[in-house]
Amino acid sequence: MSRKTGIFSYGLVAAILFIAGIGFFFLSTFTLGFLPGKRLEKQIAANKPQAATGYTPAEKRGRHIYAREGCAYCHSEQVRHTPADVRRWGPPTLPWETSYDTPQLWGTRRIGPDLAREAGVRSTDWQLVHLYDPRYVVPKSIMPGYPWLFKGGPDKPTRDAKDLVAYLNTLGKPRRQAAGLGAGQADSPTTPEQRALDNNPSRPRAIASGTVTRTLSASGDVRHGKRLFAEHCSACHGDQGRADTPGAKALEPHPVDLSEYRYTQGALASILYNGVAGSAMPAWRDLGEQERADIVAYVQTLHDTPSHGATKPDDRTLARGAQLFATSCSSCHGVNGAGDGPAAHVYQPRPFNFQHIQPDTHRIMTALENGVPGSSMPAFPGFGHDDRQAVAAYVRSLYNGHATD
Amino acid sequence: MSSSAIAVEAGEAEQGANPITAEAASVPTEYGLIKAHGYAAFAGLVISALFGTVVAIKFVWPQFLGSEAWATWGLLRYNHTQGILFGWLCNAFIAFFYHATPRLAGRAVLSRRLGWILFFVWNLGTVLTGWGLVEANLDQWLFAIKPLEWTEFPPIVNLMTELGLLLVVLQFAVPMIRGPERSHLYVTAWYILGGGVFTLLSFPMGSMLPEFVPGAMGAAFSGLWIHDAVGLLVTPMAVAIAYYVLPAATGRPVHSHFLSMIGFWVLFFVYPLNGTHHYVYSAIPMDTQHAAIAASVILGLDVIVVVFNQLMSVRHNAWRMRDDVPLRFAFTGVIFYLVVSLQGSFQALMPVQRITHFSDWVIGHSHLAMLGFASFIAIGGLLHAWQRMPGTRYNNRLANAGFWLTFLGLMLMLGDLTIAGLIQGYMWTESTTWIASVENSMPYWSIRAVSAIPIIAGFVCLIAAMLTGPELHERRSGMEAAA
Repeated sequence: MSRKTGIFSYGLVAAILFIAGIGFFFLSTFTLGFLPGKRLEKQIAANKPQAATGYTPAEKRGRHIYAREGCAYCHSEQVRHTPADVRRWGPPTLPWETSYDTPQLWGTRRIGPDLAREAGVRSTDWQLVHLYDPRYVVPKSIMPGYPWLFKGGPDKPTRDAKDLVAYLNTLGKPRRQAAGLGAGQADSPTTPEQRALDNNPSRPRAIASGTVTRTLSASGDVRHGKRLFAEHCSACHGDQGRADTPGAKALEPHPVDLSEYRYTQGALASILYNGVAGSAMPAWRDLGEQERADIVAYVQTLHDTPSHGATKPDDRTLARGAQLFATSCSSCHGVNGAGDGPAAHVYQPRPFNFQHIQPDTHRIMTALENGVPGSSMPAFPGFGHDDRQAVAAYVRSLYNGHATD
Repeated sequence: MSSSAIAVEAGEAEQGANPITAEAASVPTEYGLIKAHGYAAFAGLVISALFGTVVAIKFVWPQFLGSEAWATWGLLRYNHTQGILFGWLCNAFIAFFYHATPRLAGRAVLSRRLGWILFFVWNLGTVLTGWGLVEANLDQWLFAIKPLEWTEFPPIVNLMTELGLLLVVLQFAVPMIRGPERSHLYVTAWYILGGGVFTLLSFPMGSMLPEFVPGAMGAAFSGLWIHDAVGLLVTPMAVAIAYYVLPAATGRPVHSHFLSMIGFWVLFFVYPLNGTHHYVYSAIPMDTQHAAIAASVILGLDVIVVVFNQLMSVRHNAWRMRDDVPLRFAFTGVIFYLVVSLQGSFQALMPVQRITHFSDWVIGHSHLAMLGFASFIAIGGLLHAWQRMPGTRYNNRLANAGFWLTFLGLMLMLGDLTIAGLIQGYMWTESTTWIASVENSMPYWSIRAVSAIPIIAGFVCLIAAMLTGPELHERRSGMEAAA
């Protein structure tokens, strides 16, 4: 081929530079960047809820820490339009949900779970303990700990840690705002419209702890339950259920010492299925029904005080207890102790339902004397020792283990 | 339009002349800069691989190196991927351009002084400053890590990188534009020109726009850059090297200049349109996702054309690969290019994305691309240039050991991560706890960490191969005796 000269000699190079290098760059940026951007802008303008607000300065700082520590490289922030994603985290992420997110943190990899709707899935103190050392609460976790965000312990967060958790607690906020709900765990969707907007299957459901919403058809295998308990529950509740682990110490309300409570099977089944909103106890819906039944069977063996043979309280003590309960406890715990008093639904965690949960006497006495930190249960300094004993006797008499088993 | 320096070089070799002795000695080559970038490249390779190894160990032993802020998983991962891209691959590419450009353009590169400025801008300004600032993890925006995949280095470092890219284009494009071969440029030069100019534009777009454009719109631009980094920076440069090394080492001219043009234009047209396939099933408009998936499939077809054209040079010459380790590296890299591209087309399909996305399958894919395809060809190109350079040593036995160790390590990692990805993907669709998928990945993560041993040992062998063995005049007489 003969060599061209003059103006044409630059033709080839010019074609490469201007068509391949520059032309195709602008073509791709236009078709895959600006064009969908315009459509997204329209979609966002049409669907974004009126109530939507951006981040507070603290949340913004937290988001910045989340970004630079590389959280997005293991935790995506988008629920995809796939059945598996929707089953775990609720409806797919829509464009308006991330319209305040600059830069976006959608992520392309999941080693841990998606966090697009993390608000309300875990309690703030759980998040702090988990950030300090993830293995305190999730023994098999491979997430790095971030102890430099704390001043020596999970209960001493720096501003960085607090802001980071403040950001985590905003994840999913746009949908909650669209549904007209507040940010806390307290606000569960009630109407079908709200549920369609803000349905997060991994979030605990706010119902009175012990209220039976779930029964088990399967009968549990204690040995398998013990294995599952060691794997999933022991980080907070301890190997023997005594809640004496480092993870448990920083959580408020303190994880229950399972040796001090008697639960009906239905109550445990409901707690496992629903979680305990307002506490670090998550919902365990990802476990199969048989696995939950096995854990229930094992947990029931952890209560170490025999229920038979205890001296029955005399009628006078019970009457005294009933009277005190009616005046001081029933507004929250309900007149029948079912955790359904008129004030119950404003509190997180919800008051205990004593028909299905029977704490040991000394546990009730301690709670009356000191309150339960991290919950709405106050101390009752006006009660003397006999009063506390009477209330304890009455509360224990409410238990009706056969009603649902 | 179809004649070229390399074809001449290869043609002479075919007539019996030795490919090393058939050097175009008339055009001066900057050997000092080839060496500097070559050493920097291998230093970057080993350091980045060590970052990656620590990241891999932390999967199975999270407390490895303690809970120090600088040793946290996220920061080390940034330094692994950014180091591989900027510290290793770009240095290797630049080293090879110093070898190839004078031969392709018939003219020396723009300026030696510019070359040294580029060397320091790239290695001090981008690589070392980038690693340092990631470890320092500062708060101020200009110095802070960006959570954008493949461009995590802080904005101040991006400025240096952009300056470096500009210098790269000036250094290598100017001799191509002004040299005697300007209207007959061989396809290697096309890829260098096209990829250089494209990246000069796409790098600031990918590094800066998502910092200001929120949510789904920002993700659309991020997706573009994730793919532009691989598709319009790494791919054209690696393909350029393969188009050079295979004909030059086998002595057979490129099979078809027409096919090389088809391959070039389709790649540059289609590859940039792939970006959104990183966000399939996302909130980005479905049409955009579908377009990107269609483009991904077309790209796979294009790669078949390119690879066919390249492999035709090796036809009847496969025996040369037994002794010519650089040729074997480049050839294997081309095979990996075909495999990884067809895998890419396959996994862009929606039913496959549903399972494999977010999982270790993708990490296997990216290692096949960056280590298998790009790095094998870059190593082949670097050793090929090294063999032909005065004042260097080259040890073929160590290079051979380096090949097999790297190859076996990569195969182990690829197989392991692909299986792990499928297990994770299917477990996520089942009703099990999330942590169960982590537990079940543990054996695979252990094997992945172990696969670092042969890979890094292979890299060390390659470095040793470039520092020991006979010098050029001894190699020449040895090769002439063999011929």
